[in-house]
Amino acid sequence: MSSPDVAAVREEERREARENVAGVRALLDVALGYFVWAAHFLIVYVATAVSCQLGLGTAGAGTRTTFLVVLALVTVAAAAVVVLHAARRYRQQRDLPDRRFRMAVTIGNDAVATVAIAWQLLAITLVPVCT
Amino acid sequence: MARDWRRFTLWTLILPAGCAGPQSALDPAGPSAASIHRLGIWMYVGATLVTLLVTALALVPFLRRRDRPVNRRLFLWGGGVALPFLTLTALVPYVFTVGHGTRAPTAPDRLSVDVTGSLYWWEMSYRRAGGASPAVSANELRLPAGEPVELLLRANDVIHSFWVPNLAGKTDMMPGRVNRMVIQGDRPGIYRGQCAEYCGRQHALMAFDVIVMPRAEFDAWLARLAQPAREPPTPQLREGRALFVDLGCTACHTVRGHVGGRLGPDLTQVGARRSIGAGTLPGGVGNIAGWIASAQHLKPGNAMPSYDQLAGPQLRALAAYLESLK
Amino acid sequence: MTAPRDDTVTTRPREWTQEAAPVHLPYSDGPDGAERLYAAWARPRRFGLLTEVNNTVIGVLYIATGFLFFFGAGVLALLMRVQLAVPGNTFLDADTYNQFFTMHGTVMMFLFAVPIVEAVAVLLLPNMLGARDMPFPRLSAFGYWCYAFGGVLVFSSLFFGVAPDGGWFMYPPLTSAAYSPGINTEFWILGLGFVEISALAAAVELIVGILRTRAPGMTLGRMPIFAWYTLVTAGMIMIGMPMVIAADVLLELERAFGMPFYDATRGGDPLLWQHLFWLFGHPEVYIIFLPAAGMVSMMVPTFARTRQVGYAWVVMAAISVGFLSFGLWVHHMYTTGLPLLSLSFFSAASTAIAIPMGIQVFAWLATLWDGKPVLRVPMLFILGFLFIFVVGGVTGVMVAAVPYDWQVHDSYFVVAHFHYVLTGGMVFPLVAGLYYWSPLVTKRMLSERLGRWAFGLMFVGFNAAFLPMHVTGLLGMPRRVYTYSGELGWDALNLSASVFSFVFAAGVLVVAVDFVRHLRSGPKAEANPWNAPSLEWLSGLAPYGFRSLVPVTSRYPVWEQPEMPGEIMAGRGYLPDAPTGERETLVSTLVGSVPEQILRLPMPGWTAFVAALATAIVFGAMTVKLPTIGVAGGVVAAAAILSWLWSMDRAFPREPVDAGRGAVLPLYSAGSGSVGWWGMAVLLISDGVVVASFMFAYLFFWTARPAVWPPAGSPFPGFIEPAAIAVAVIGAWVFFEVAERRNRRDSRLATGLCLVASAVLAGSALAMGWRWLDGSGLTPTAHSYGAAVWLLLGYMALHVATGIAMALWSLARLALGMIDSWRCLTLRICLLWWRFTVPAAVLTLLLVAGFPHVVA
Repeated sequence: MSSPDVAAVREEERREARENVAGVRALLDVALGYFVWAAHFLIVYVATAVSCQLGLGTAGAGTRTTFLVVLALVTVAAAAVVVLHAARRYRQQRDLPDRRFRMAVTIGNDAVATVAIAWQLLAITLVPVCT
Repeated sequence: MARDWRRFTLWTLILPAGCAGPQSALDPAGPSAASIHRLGIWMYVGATLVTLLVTALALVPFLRRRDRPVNRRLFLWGGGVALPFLTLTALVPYVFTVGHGTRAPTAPDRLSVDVTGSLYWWEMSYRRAGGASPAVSANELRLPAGEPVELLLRANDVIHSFWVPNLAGKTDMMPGRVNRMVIQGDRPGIYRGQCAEYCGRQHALMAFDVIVMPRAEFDAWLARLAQPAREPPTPQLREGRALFVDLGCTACHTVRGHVGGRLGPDLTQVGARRSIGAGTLPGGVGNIAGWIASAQHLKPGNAMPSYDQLAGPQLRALAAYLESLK
Repeated sequence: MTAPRDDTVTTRPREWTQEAAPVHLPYSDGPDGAERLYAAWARPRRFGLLTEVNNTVIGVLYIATGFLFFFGAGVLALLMRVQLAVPGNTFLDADTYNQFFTMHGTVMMFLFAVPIVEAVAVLLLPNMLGARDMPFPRLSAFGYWCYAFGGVLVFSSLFFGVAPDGGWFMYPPLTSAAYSPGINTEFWILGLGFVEISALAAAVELIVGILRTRAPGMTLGRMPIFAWYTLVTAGMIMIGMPMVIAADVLLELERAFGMPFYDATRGGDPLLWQHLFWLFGHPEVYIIFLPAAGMVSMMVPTFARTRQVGYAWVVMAAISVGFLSFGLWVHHMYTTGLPLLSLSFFSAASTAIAIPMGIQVFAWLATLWDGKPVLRVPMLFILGFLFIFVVGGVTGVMVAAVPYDWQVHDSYFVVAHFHYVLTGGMVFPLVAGLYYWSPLVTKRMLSERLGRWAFGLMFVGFNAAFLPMHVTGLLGMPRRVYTYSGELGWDALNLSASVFSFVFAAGVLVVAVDFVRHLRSGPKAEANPWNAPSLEWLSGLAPYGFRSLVPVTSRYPVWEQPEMPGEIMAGRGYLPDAPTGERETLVSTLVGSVPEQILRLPMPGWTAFVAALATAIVFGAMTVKLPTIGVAGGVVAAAAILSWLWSMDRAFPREPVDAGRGAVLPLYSAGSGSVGWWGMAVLLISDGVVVASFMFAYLFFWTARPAVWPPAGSPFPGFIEPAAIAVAVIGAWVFFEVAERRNRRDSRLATGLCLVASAVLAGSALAMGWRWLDGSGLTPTAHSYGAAVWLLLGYMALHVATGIAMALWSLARLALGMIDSWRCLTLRICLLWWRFTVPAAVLTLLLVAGFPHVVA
């Protein structure tokens, strides 16, 4: 293959790759709230399951309270990340119609994710651990 | 009293008559079932209102032409966001406070029963104080009224699920695990439980009776269950007992006082049970004889063979012997 | 027109964004061009139709097959209702009943609901998106034939009395070899494994199709809403299906080779199945519901004669449901004795899903209020859907409440609940869709009168049969019982449910009669009989869809771009007629949908059909244990699939082609712009889920019994061997990476040597792995620990072996001059495989070697 042709093709490919990465990132960013939600969900679920198996149920009240406080802090932190993400997108993406659409969907997703995360606090505060 | 009255009105509002029954979650007879039923009533009311609202909102545009554009905010923020968010934020904490009782710890002096599910029958083994060997029964659970009783649930083969709707929700019996639940019958009575997890061919015929009795009666009954069976008083019954041993029934069944296996239900008090074959037939000498002769016909695939080669008098003697075990 | 550009991505200015420029029409203004188009997309005749891969044929076959299974499973339901009409009935015996309810659930879920919603997408989506076909038509044909043959295989087991009888959820240990020794269970595992593969094939293709083959100008915010729903659904299938495939693999390994994954007596745990099954099984409900909701969202604006209110809200709701549905699985396991707090997490997540659902319903309601709705038959079914689905939704909130579910779980309350969700949420929209889109396919209208009758019968029959069933459940009737006693107060409720189930069936029959009747005598339909706003109505569902692809500037192009039909027909869009004389469609960028490449699509051919038939023979022979036929089928299948793969990577001609409107686009892309690369990437995500499921299994055994797992006395794996294996695997990958670089400079010898080195290193990794595992004294059948280790390493060995095959494949193509610096897509796709395999293998080795030391 002749050399100038190759250079053009490479340039084209790099452009395509950048574009696709940016596209996928834009698409995933819309759902960032749910990735945080999923990570938070897995953390609290696995932590509960594993520590109950390791004997948290028979540990003293202090240990159990500490455990619940940690879970609650993780929950608040996760909700805060999602809310901050929504706020950033609100400031960044108000201009073009297509970006506005994505902003609206992003903020909506973040809102639902925040509720889904925050409701876990109800479980953490109201339900006894390891019974 | 006031609460009872309120419950009564809600009841008559929502539910038709005929909800009472030996296996009904709508006729609670224990604190756990009652609190779940109360939660249910709230949710039935809420669900009905939401359904009516949506149905009305869906029909109006077809019945009444309008020229104004719709208030989108009201629909999306009011109906879409606020309605589910507010009702559920109220409901979720309520839900989280119901039902702790079924997992609550019980005092050490309370009764504990090991319940084991096997393919199409149940074994109930009552722990007794002071290291005495447990008293074993089958397909029938007796409880002292008004006391929380701890059940330890196991499975012998496949997954089963223990469910007495009048008293509490169900808990699965998993091979390799021991699940715990606390159950309580508030008033003496007879209830029915049934396997709620599909367990194979005869999943439909895997039931048991729950008899809630006053504490004193219960204690007397449990003491009797722990005793060996009485010596049969008549020749026919003695012939029956001999047949029970000769035919090899003891390979699977135990009658307290005889050596016996635990592959099948313990028969120490089989004559006192309300049903046989784990709820397949009502009790009584005729049905016991029928069950012995044609268990495979009545409940195909259960572990009990049909003893259809027995002559009439033999069958009657065997059935009479079993009927006498009370 | 303004260019819908997106500045997060660098887009080149394209000719089509400059609307004022004179339009260059190279091909299309005469009858010659049209003839070239028709010739390229001509349908083969008679038996040749089996070779057709076009979505308009495959989609119709797919939907028709789905409805056949619906009728079959419906008949099973009616027979069960006869049995349950009176207490103590002997119409069906226990065995038959258990097979019937198992098959009813299995067929409805796996052979009707999921395939048919994918089928509707395969049929309609390309034209809704303004494309000419799906990006991988042969894959959809292969998927369809796999589904048809696999489905027939599973269904036919009923006629021999060996149908699966363990319930559609197939819980072990009931379904393990000890308690289900017959081949019934094999029919389920193998038959459905096969069907699941076809579902995955459709998902890959829908994802790539939606993201990369949209009409020019159709930005994400202008996609028809059905595309959003389908995108979410396909993503869910891609993540969810592999989990149940993993669970199936474990069950079959236990049944066939005695590896104790679910056997509690040997360290396994039946709960593992429930986790994996419901991790798929709960999203499954939404996989079925979301596309149906997408159809509703297409029909509501049409009949309301106005735009959808809150388009962004609805898109958001669809995405939310897709994600949240994966946090609900334990919802089916509330009674298994897990800690109350764990259950409550799932309760909160289950409840959270009510918010997007509420938004969705109220967005539809607002649209109806906003417009001037007309009550035609599809709208009638949508109203029925709204009522029934809302009832299913509110009872869903009830069963999401942990303590309440303890009562109603596995009772008839739940039967009523999910029939409300699935029949209301999916069957009613599907019938609405049948009335709505049939004119597009058959060019005739279905009867308005019969449609109203059908709706009346179905709506009344359904509600009268299922609403009282909630009460039956609360009165204590458990599910899956073939008989019940007359003393429990269930008789009247059951009898009326049985009677009304026949009323519902009569309604379905009226639909069927109407459909058959309309094929001959229905009145001719106009091109767009409902005055719908979406693009598929401009295509007439011709095989090629559109004569040219005109840029989209609106969410409702038919309403808001009135000049569009004329421009399409005049060939004033992209790809007017067939510039290359072949079947082709446009590939565009992901966000802004700027045309990038012309994708040439495969012509009709036997490969897909033969490969599917042979694969079906393999699975069938495995089920009934006929190894010779199985091997023969396997050889044919392998040959067909290899010849299929061999024909891919078409790189010539190298010259870009005039795509109309002044755009000159390449025919080939070897990088991450090509759809093949995307297909592989999507597939690898699914594969990653399988790997994760296996790792989850390994770790789950530990969490179930941390004190005794790994069992005392089992040998601890060392670190030296796994390190050596990891080095070899990484080396194999590095050499592949270098091979790809050398190939860019056309140094064929160096490329070939690197490929050989890669294959040799990978082979040595396999050999070392076998020696290590075989010499470790760890047997796969003694305990779940050994089984899990063998499983994880075995699966990685499969990946490395595939990597070797890929190296050899590339080597062969290199030797034949089919790989060079221009034509290098094959090499890059294989490289993608290695880039996935290496981290997965290293992680696996780390887990297997390190974890026992960590917990010891």
